Amino acid sequence: MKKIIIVLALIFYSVPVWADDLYVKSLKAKIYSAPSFNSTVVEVAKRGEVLKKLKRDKSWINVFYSGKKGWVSSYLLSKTPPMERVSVLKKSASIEKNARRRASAITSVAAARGLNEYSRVRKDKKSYAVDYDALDKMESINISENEALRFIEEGVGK
Amino acid sequence: MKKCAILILIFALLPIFCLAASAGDSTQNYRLRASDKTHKVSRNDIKAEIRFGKEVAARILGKFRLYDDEKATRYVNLIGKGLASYSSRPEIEFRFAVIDTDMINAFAAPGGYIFITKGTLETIDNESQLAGVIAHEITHVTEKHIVRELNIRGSDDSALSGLSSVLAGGSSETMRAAFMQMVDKAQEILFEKGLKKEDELSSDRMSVILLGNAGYDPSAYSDLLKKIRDTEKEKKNIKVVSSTHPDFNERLKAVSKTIETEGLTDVQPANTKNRYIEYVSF
Amino acid sequence: MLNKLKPAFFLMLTWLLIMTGLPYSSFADDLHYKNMIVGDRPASMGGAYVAVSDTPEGTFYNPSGLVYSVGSNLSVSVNAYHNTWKKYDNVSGIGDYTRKSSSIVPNFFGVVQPLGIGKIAFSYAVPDIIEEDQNQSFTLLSNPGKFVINRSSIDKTYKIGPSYAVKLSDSFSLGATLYFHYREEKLNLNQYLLFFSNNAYESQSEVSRKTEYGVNPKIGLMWSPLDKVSFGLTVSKVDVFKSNFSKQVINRTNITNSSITDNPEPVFAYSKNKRKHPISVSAGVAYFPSEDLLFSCDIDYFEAVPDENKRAVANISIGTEYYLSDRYALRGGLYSDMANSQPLKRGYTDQADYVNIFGITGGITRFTRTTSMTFGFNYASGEGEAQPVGGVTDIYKTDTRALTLFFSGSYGY
Repeated sequence: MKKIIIVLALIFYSVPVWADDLYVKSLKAKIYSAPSFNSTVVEVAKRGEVLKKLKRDKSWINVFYSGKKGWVSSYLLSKTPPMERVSVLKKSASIEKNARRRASAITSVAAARGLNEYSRVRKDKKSYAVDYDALDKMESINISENEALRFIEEGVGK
Repeated sequence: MKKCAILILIFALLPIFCLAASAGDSTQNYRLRASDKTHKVSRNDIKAEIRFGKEVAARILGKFRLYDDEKATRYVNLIGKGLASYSSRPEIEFRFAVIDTDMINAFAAPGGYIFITKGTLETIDNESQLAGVIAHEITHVTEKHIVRELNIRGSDDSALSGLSSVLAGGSSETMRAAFMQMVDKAQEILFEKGLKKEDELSSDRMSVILLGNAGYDPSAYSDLLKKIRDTEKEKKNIKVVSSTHPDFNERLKAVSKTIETEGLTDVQPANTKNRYIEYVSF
Repeated sequence: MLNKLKPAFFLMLTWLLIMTGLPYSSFADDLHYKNMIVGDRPASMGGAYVAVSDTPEGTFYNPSGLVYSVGSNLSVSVNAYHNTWKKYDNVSGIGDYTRKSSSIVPNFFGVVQPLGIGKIAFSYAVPDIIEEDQNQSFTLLSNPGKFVINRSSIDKTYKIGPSYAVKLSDSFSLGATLYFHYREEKLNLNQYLLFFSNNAYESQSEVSRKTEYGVNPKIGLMWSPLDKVSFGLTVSKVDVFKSNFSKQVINRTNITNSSITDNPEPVFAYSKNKRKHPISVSAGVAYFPSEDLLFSCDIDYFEAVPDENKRAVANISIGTEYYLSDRYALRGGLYSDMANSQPLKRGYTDQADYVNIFGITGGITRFTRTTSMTFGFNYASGEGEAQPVGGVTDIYKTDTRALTLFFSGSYGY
């Protein structure tokens, strides 16, 4: 029985330390030869690719990718794979508008109880304004990630 | 028998003494197991965040008009979306707008809705500084600063799932009231209270590194902070940034430290003044 | 005819009858401290939970760990099948005595919620429940006859009470549980000896019951000096404030010089003596290398209790938990359950069983966003020595085995 315990204990603690797998979250992740943005770029990894973490030095991570070793900024990586873009239907009914419609139902009930709509609907007297048309205009600007990234790269001369 | 017990004890303690010790984690996040949903975010959680952000954005736009300059707006979106491609949240579609006010400030609503004031664009003078402003706001979204600050306790202590439970709750009046309260609170944080100091400093630090990743000169961020500080001193009636953000000197100190420790001192400064002038003119 | 019986053999048999009725050998398992492992996650991990304790089971293992539980949650654990088997080898040349027990029992229920600056919890735990049955009939060869023994005993311990835990600093937390302790022991023993030649017989029937009420405070600390490492310490004691023991024996015999006195009336015995429980100190360490893996190790120390003839005991347990995915986890553990009785001394009589037990545990859990479901097992076995026959210095080998299958569920809200 003693032997079994020792063997099992050895097994428990000899579990190999697996190298952490890290996923690239940014569209592009430059892998540098040293932990500095000044050093040469060894490789460029793309979003969703897996890098093997070797060690960490502050905000830089030493990784293994495509047969080469190099350094990547940790802010571009994560332990979980990147999610696909999430969109919310543009013309989804504004909750705010519905709240206003329903509020009238409440105020009629409240009025029946002798409360007025101001004291029932808003605790403080602050009024608020919303502009959904401006929001639509803001959302109508259509620029792809690649186009935007190229624009920056042109600007910084890379 | 005792020997056996001692042997097992040594095996148990061995891993601890072999470890390189890093500072103790104050939140003991290491206890979270793979099944714990607090750090797992579903698509529904993201949708809830975006819907919430839309409401906050609509309020910001209700308070300030959109600045009517297509060229400048497109420019801000190009820089913004380009910087966002380096961010850790590819699932968010970041959107940028310029709002018509002389106030020097920028706002980030959850879900990626980011606003920069005309006053800010007038104060800064090159693209690297603009990138600095935008990077700072992007990090507020990627780190979910507002959502966390709202302290919405959901079914599993995750702020986001609290949002989705509120929205998924659907048509109940209590749900809508709760939602409105959250939007009110978000507005208060953006315009009056400001975020926690640690969150602001953390955004500063991450912005500097984001600039480095994108190829901009990280020291432009210090220039940006100095410019805003100096402009606030001049135009004493526009003291907005400092009322909702930590003291400039503290921020500048922290930024220099980051630049030094993260090896960002020798990045070649790109000439980003010309393009800025080309797109942004008053 | 009766005179032909070897006196020694005769004497031995009668003592056999009486001595198997004595408290220390009839109430199983007073001789070990780790009878059932409480809770599903700890039970799958060999009980090595003092430095983990971040679920409702923390109320039992280390209440300070409750501050690290996520949100509010609830946990229930049921031992679906708890089967033990105990054998005494070739007793008195008559045969192997075997005692079996089998039970289905909910063994833990706990709820945790945030309250004020810390967490409050309420739990119910059953750390020990043994229901033993022995029904055997032996044929006597040298002097033709038969010996029948029917023995059934129950020994259950319940704990129920509140707990509270607070964070004292970023790396240090403190907690306490105040359990109400209740233990009930019942014994029903019937023995019958009959010699065919002359219909000489001896029969003894005994019914006894003991109830014990007490409080069981537990204080725990948790310290995390390094990232991913946690140390836990608990101190606990049971203080009995009320105890009732009653026993009723009916002895019948037609043998004139038997050592039991024939009496159609039952003979009663009572006692209000309060059992002394040891102070127990548990220390544990846990290492969380990643969100998929966890190792833990505990040492549980119980002081000696000379008044109860208990020696000091140190039990060790190690456990591990590995997540195959965010939906499934596997757990395993090993533990020791050393005898708290004294090792048997040669030349003495009527000593309590001395058996050191070792166990292995395992379990698999399935998770959904808010719930979890676990199935697990605990197999323990031990060998030792005993003197099931009273009044003689003979020492017999004894074997014990136990298999527990448990299932449990938890819900987070």
